[in-house]
Amino acid sequence: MSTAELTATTPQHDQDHHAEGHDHPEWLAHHFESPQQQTSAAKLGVWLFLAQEVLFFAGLFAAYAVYRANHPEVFLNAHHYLNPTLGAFNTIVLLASSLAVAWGVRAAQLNDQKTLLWTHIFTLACAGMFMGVKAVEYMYKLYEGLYWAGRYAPDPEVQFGVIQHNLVWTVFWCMVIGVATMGFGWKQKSGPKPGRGWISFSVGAVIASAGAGIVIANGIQAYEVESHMSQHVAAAHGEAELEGLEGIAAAEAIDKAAEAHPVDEHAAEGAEAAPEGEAAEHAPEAPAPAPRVEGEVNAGNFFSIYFAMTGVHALHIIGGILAILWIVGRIGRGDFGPHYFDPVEGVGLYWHLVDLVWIFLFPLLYLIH
Amino acid sequence: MIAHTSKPLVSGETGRRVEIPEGPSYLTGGGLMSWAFTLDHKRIGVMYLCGILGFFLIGGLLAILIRLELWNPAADLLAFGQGADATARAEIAKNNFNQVFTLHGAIMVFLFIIPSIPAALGNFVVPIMVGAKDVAFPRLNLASFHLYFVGACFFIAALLTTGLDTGWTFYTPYSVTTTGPVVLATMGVFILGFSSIFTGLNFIVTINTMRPRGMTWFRMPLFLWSIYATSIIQVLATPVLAITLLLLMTERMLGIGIFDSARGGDPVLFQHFFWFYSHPAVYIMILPAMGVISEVIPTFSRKHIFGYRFIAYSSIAIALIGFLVWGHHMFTSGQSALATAIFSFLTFAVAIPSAIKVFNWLATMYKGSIHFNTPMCYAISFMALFTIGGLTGLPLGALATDIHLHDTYFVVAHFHYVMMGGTLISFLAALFYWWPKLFGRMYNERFGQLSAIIVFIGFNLTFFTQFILGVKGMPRRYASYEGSDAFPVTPELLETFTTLHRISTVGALILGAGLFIAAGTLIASLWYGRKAPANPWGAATLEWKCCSPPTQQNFEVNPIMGPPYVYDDIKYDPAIDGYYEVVPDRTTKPMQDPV
Repeated sequence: MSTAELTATTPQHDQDHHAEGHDHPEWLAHHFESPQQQTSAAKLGVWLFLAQEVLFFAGLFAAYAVYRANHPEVFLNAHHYLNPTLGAFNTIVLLASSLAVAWGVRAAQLNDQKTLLWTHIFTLACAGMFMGVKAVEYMYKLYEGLYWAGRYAPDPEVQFGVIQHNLVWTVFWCMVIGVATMGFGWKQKSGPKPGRGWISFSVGAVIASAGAGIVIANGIQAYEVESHMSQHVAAAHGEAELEGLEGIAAAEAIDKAAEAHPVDEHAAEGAEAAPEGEAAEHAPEAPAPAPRVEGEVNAGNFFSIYFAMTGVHALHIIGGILAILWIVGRIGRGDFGPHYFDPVEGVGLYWHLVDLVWIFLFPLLYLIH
Repeated sequence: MIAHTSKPLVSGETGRRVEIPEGPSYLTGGGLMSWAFTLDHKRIGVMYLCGILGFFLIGGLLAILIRLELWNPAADLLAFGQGADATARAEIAKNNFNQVFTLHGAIMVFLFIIPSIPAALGNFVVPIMVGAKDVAFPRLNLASFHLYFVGACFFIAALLTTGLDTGWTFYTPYSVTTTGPVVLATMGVFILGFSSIFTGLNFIVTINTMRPRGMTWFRMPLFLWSIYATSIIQVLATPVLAITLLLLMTERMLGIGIFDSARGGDPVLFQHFFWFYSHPAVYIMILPAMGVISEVIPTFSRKHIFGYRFIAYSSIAIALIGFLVWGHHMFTSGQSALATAIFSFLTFAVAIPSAIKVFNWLATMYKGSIHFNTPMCYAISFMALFTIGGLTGLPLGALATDIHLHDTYFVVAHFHYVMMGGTLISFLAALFYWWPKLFGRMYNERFGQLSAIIVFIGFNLTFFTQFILGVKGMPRRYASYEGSDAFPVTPELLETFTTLHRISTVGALILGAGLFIAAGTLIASLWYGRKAPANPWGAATLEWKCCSPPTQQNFEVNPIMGPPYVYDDIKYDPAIDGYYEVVPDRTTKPMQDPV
């Protein structure tokens, strides 16, 4: 057929990817005809990637919905073990980082290299802080024996002294390593490879702010333990004196007594026997624990979903950190400007999605009433 | 610029003959490393093709083992000389049988059918069809091939460690408690899933942003429509399987207790999640196949495709409705009655767009000038087998009949008619159709046609008998059909079972022979085949407007973009035994598809 409607492919007889003689800027891939085409392709690609990410998380949200619909009482009880203050703090941290990323895209459009760079470093620091807070939350959960279903063995007699001691050292090393890496990067950035220098500096910033996050989270957690006695400990001691929650706390106390037995049928199965699993050795002076019913749903199943959701989300945060580090390196090299910032925008969009997932996770897990 | 010379026109009309310049083929140059790290979509497609065909061979041999085991009612063949005690041997044979059908299913689904047409041939054809130099993200394309390779390695590891006996569906709670390498296999599928997602993402972006001017949505070849629909499913459904398998792995390794009923988990939730991907996955398998048929039928009927828009929209409709029918795999799993009724209704709804396609292909052939080349033989075979496969889906989608037919050989026959009679036959049609473009050689047409006929006969012998077996109550996944307390078999029934199983086994061997003839025909062409012209079939889509095999850049000169199914100006030249395009001496011709 023969309407002479031509494709715009430029004839090229040399196999060179960046053929001389036609004005392909360096950042324009050889198989695109124009910067506009490349940008629209990149944007569509990122959005599709985000679509598959949404579906990836959708499985977890569906599991949450099914379990919460079938066992609302389990969720209502279990969420008291989570600390909404920490969750809220993390929400604010991530929102701030999202703002910074969006600001960074704007800076790229205006060719404001300094703002572009520092917004991204700020984002990385926020990500590090988020992970620090998450680490503290996980430490407390696991220390109290609040594992997922297969290992759920809450320890009502838990003493927080050891965990505080461990965290002090963690913070110390985070700070030392983080600040040292930042210093190294700061020196390196004036060398021949400024991009690498900024990457080192940012890695240091992530580690140091993770340390800061641990300090803050631990402070909040310790304060709450001091002031309120964490509810389930209170419940286990039979001192359910929490405003308006006596009934629930008492119910928990009974639950807990019933569940103070680790499920060891599966302990040997495929997993290394974890020492924390032994936590339930310190049997409470509560009434003799009833044997756990095979297949029943208890707070452990809430923690299964909690760990699955927050764990997969944390993996996405780590992925985001790596992606933003790559962006920081390229910013340091001076790759981006008003004509080309597709990667900045793409990674920014991904980061917004990670933030958005957390915006959903926070109320679903921490604010059940 | 249109290159043209003063070569004579054959059929006497006036006009210019479009010459297609030859260039260095994409196959030339570079060693192993330049292949392994190439960004060229054609090389990636060829590497996919090698991997996929290798796994097809493994999966096929496993299928032959299944059929041979079922030759006799007792479980005997797969004991591999383990001692003399009959009971112990039967036990071993049954265990091995479980592993053989599991690996057959998993390898065929995840390593062969899903990537077959999209990843291997799609990678090769899609960019050329849109007149582009490459897919939108060549590096991502290479990454997806590397992921395929890594996922395949996990599968090979699972195959070599043996003991994977969950069935390809990995249903909990059995998959949590069995001792086989479930984590290895699911990790493999997890990785392959991302390979599939990236391929789909690439195709959507390529088709959306890289079409040449003049190629509107409704001037695209229908293969691109079906690949587009497929890619939507790949991007949106595969991540659900990914998270499901991730949870299954944590279930096995840590005991997370979401799917394992012993820990308060919900096994039916696993089935919902699994089929939320794996039902759309069967549309990932069949839609590209339908796209191939939509290319082959008009080309060999020398006639414009009938009902272009209906075929295009039905691809999208199948993709969308396909997302809403996963529950029909679980009619007997204790869903609510309302849910089963809704899923049943939606399942029937999928039949409509599928039938639209079949009728449009038939209408395309009507009064066409039909050439029975090998791809066309396979395409006609596809239409017959796919129709049987599709129609037998309806009794399975209807609630009352499914209760009887669920988990019998009727199901096995149904999905083999669609997956093999549909996708595999279409894959072969596509392979023969694009082979001259892929490797620049013509195969022996007679042997090709012979292979199509033998495959058709062998296939029907193998699987039509299984419909009868299923209706008679033969359950799937049984190594022996001697009968037991749980599965009583009368002597007459045993005789029927045995006869039908033996016919099926003979059919499988015939089918295997047909496939080997097809493989031999294609491989022999690489050495003995005539050099292929740029357009051996007289097709009008863009991939036939570059030389065979294409150069690295695909097009040395700009191809002429026209409607993909108009053959008026494509003329036969006996000198090259191929077709060429004429730009006629007329000033205007409205660029419109005949409606």
